[in-house]
Amino acid sequence: MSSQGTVRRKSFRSWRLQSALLLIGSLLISFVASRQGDPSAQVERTASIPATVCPNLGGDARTVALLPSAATKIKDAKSRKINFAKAKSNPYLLARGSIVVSGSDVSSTVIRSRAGKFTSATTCLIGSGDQWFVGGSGALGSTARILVINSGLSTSTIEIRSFGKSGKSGEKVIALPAVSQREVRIDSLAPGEEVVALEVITRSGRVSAFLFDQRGRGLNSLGGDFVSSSEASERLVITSIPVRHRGSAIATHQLHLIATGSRSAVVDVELVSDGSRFTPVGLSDRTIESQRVTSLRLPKELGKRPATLIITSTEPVAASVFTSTGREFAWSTPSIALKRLGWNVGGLEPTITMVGKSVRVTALVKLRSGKVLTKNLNGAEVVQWKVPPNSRLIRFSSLDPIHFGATWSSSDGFTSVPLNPGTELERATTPTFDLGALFG
Amino acid sequence: MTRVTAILISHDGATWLPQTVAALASQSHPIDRIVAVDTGSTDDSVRLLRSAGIHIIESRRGMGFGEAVQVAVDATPAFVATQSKGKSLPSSSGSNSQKIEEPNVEQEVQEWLWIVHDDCAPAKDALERLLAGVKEKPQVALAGPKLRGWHDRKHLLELGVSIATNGARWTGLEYREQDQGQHDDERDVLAVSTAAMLIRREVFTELGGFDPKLSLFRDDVDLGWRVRAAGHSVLAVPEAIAYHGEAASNERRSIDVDDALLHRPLLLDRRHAAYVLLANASLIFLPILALQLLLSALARSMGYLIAKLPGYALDELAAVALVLIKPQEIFAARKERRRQRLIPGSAIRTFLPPRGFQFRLAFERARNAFERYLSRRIPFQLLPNESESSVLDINDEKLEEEEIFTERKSTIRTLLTRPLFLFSLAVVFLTLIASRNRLGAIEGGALLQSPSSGWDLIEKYLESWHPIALGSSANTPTWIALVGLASALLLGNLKLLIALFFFAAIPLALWIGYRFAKAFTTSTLIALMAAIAFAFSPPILHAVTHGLIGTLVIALITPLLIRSMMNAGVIEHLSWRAVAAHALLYAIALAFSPPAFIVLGAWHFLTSAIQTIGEFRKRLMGANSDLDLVITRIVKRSLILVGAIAINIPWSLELLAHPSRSLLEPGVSLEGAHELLLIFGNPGLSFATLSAAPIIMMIALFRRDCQAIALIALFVFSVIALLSLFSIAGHGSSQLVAPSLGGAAILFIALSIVAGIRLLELVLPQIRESALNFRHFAAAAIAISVLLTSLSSIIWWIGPGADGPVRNEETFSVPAFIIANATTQERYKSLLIREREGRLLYWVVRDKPLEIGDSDIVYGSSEPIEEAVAGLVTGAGIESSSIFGDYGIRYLFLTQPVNKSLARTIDGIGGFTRASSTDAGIVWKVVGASSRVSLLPDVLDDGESELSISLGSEELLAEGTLTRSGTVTIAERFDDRWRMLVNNNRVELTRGVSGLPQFEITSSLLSEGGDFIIYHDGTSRRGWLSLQFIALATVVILALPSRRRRSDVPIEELS
Repeated sequence: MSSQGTVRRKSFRSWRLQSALLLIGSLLISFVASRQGDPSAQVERTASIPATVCPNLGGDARTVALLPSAATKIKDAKSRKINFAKAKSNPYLLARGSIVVSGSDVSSTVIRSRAGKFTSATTCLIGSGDQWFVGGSGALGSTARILVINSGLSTSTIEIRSFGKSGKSGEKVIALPAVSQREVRIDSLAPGEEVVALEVITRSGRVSAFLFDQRGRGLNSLGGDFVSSSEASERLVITSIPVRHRGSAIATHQLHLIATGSRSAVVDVELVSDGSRFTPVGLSDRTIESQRVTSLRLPKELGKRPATLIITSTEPVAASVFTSTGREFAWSTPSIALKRLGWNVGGLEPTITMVGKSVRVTALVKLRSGKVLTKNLNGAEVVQWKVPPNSRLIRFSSLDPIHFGATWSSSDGFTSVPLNPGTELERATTPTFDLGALFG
Repeated sequence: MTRVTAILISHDGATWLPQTVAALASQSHPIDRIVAVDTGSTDDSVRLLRSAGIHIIESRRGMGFGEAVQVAVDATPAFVATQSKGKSLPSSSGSNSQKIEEPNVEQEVQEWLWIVHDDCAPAKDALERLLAGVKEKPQVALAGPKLRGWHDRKHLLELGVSIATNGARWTGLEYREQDQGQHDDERDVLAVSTAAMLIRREVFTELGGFDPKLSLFRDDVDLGWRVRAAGHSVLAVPEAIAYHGEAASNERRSIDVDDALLHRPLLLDRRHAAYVLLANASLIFLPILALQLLLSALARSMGYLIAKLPGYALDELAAVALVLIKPQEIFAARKERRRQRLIPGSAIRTFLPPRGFQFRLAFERARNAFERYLSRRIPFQLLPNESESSVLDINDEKLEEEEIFTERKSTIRTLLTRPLFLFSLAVVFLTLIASRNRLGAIEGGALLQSPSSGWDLIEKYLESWHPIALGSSANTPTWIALVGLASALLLGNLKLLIALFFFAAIPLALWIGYRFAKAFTTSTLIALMAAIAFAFSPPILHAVTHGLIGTLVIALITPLLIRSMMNAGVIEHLSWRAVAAHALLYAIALAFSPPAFIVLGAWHFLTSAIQTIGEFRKRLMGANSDLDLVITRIVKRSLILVGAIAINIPWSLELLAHPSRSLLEPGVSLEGAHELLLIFGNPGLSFATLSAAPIIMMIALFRRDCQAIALIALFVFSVIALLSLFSIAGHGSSQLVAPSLGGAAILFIALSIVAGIRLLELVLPQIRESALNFRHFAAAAIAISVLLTSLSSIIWWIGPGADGPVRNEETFSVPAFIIANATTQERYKSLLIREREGRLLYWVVRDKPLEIGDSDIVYGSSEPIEEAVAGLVTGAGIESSSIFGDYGIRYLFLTQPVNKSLARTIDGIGGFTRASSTDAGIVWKVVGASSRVSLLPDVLDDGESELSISLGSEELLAEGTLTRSGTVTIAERFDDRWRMLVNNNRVELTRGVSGLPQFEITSSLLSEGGDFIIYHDGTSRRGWLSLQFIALATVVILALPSRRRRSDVPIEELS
């Protein structure tokens, strides 16, 4: 009897234990399942790079586009055709007009030059809603013009506002037909204004705007350069300000600023030159009146290597630096901080300036021969690096955000270009194929 | 003076003859002479007759009944007025030359022939009453008694007979109707049975006796019809009673008449029935009668096939065929009858049963048959009722019934004393309140708009291509066909069916839950508590308010499913018919809730594995193991599961190919639904109150007596939890959602309720008899949790639940012009984008709103469209418009509230031209959109652009004439069943650059003209559906109770 009782007790314990184990297991699974959350609440995001527009203005200057590769797909900006075709050559000569370049993480650059007169460069881009240009002139001798390109198949409406030393000087609303471009002379917007700031607002459609400043006196060319667009910000970094051309120092450097908001800004300007950072006399605590272009003269000697300006402000400001030798000039504009950047230098040998709190950048350089070089570029605040000969594609990567700019000088002239991506990686909610779209 | 000659026809009737002879001999009214004709009996019939002293004429075995009667008549000269005595009369049969003594006769004699079967025993006074019935009625030439059963002597067989227009023998009586004097009034009838038929000799002779073509069966109806047509009356005399064995029709003796093909009584009966109808009916009714006979034979043969009696089915068809292929016999018979006819056919038509009456009686018989079927043990009820007595029997129904008999309450008062009735009333009232927003045509949640007719769903089921969104060739789920068929109950009104179903779901669940619970307890109170817990369980309420039709169907069949799970351990005891019934049940479960089917299948698999391992373990340990048993179990389980899958092909094969789809229930997949919340929480999908079901399951798990059922519940719970780990693309969406496990959750709830009932039945006696201890608290905890769960659920149901997504409102919000755009012959589509809660949703709209079932056919978008839309919203899609155009998308519609940034992106991306901007949203026109079917010519004419030429199309089909060679593109998703015929020549299908189906049309193809047709080839779909039908028919036939051959039915049941 006792033995039977023991067996029964053991069996009793055994099935209870089994039940408990099963229950605990099931509860654990259900706990894990409940912790998963609702999968339908998870919103996926998609990222892609939109197509950019490379501008080509009329005139006798030669314009080439440095594309990511010869296989990059392009189409004529004036074409109603939707299909893109491979460029087949790189650099790509813009013989007929502006082109639309399919999206890539490597920015395309347009170089416009006239033999012995000027060279200029700008990044191909797709316009955002609001573009600021600080530069160009409506004064006598200036043939500066703004080029607006509507690459879409519907009519776009844009508004161009111009500001001078005394405030708002003009406003123009333009309806741009589909796949068209139009040049607007600055002297028609702000006649007589020595330096202007332009705000291009896209009301509908997606319009890309480019400002090209060209000056002359009689038959003599005083140079030409693109003024890259920028966004107004409370901190601006303008890198790669040219300081030398054909072995001589460039004497004229002017900083033009505009407080884009309704309130005046107080700015501090620091100059980073040849490894030293300082605030030039008279550039500290300067008040910049709202919506008026303020010009500040920079020191004549900015060092031997391209200079950098760091502008901090109490209000959003837009700015650029005008550098002139008297026969050629360049506009240096702010660049944005990036961790990654791809740029096809197309055989150029520019000096690239990298600005950050501490610079630790790795550059992968693909040479014309197909060989790939790796270069570690480290420094405290500013690092400058001259691109080796026969370089094609350079990819920079950094742990911290870095401002990149490039400048080069040739027999035609000199130029400065902020290395901003022509378009940012567009992130958007991944559209979901869902019949819920049918129900309001 | 009245004289009676009795003619007894005998054929292997030794079984009945002693009684028959005794009955004749003991008649209260003397029979003037008796003559028997034996048609070659091989038993003791002849000896018996001889020993009874009856004069007998022996004839050949194949002689028909009518012929035998004629032999007897010929052998018995009519009584004449001159009185004579002791004269010998020669017999008509030459070979059997015999002498019959002529009895004494008187003048003014009126002679009656009383024809009696050898299996018919008239009551002692039968002849007397028959003669009394016809006395002073010179118009009556034919009379018959009330026929009752030979064995069941209260069983009323006939009181006059007629024939239905479908050939059925018509008595107007119910199945196994007992004689309680309810038909005891003399009546004029069309005919009386020959079993004990009384007929005036002169009329019999005048009409030529029975039709020789009618050797057996229906000769009585024919004779009666002819008697009537000759201007006489036929009378059924209820006071006269005879007991009839119906030995021939009940297959108790062989049918040996010459024209009885294969000796099959049914074949002979049906054949003669058709002959009688066609020979006697008015000429104008012949075509319709022939048609009706044919259709009836088809219907009956189908019925016999279902009843697994193929021989009878063949009899039905062969009988009609044998008559119809010999029209000359019919015409000869009609000629003969025309000669004898004195009154018009319309006078006789009144004796044929009206069609409405035939249908009504047929329906009642079917209903009775169904009730008889239900009264027997159903296939799922393998286990006996669990509880024979209850501790809570104060409201026991038996007691109530006793009270009813003693107090004789009125019906209303009786109903008011029944708790189930009162609760049902209360629930219907609550349902009305809770359904205040759901009265009328409903949609919302998982439920899409219903088409007006259920036939639309059937059509959808049969089609191989579905023009929804980008088009789909997916196999339509079986549930769509089932719902479409169910709408036939309401004459195809699907909207009404859906509305009624969702309205009645909770009251039905209450009733079903009660019936289910009563199988486990005799206590009405416990059963009611269980029913309420079931009907108001969160999964069911959630299903009602969110349009989950599959979950609700599972709820209604849950009792059967639970029983099948409980019986899984003893599956070897299931009959093969029960196995088929299980397969049918599981097929319904699979159709309406694949996850529930997974749970069921998993349980069978687990049970099978445990049992098989157990048997092999025994074998290893040297004990006796029954491998046959193992194999039987495996075979039966496999048949159930495979049968269910086979019934659902081809859709079930798609589930096998894409297992993730088997985690979805019918309808639009709901976001945010998580069945674990329904199990632990409440229908509002929150943990505001804790559900009682898991608590009960946990407690029961540790009570040995309830552990078995609790373990099944725990298993179901574990499977639900495991399946909840997956995320799958929902119906009509590429968005990941949680699996739809409502049906499975209901199984868990029901199992927990059964465990709870068992627990209460066990614990309550102990509680009553013991002092306060933990059991009291446990019981109180269960009761309170059940009460709280039910109460909170009811409050939620009539409160927030009433405002749930399912409502009597149209939810489809696409502007009419977008829809209208797709109704032109170009069949352009539109892409609709809507931003909702930070998410961008898109859909391709065609020419009509989505309807019920559409969501279950569409699985995701196509890759090119996905990329194009993604490119569109990021602004990177340089070829988006081109792809949209290729797919026939002409308009892009961004609904309000418009995302301005997105609008600007679309404006700038190229390929889209703003068409309008209204309160509804912004519309862009896609540049260069192709029509549904378009031709890109090889050679362009002068001034012609490169754009393709529209060819025009219907919703599915496109046809017309081609005049130029080129590439024909269909703006539908690619499928290798797209076909194009040009001049009846098939053109090869290719996949275009955008992944669209294309056909290259060469000049040579157009040499004979360019008539073309484009269609989606549904041959394989039809093939699969045929297989499905065969599988379904096979399982249904196997599952239905088989009908016995008449020869297999105990004679006591028949007569």
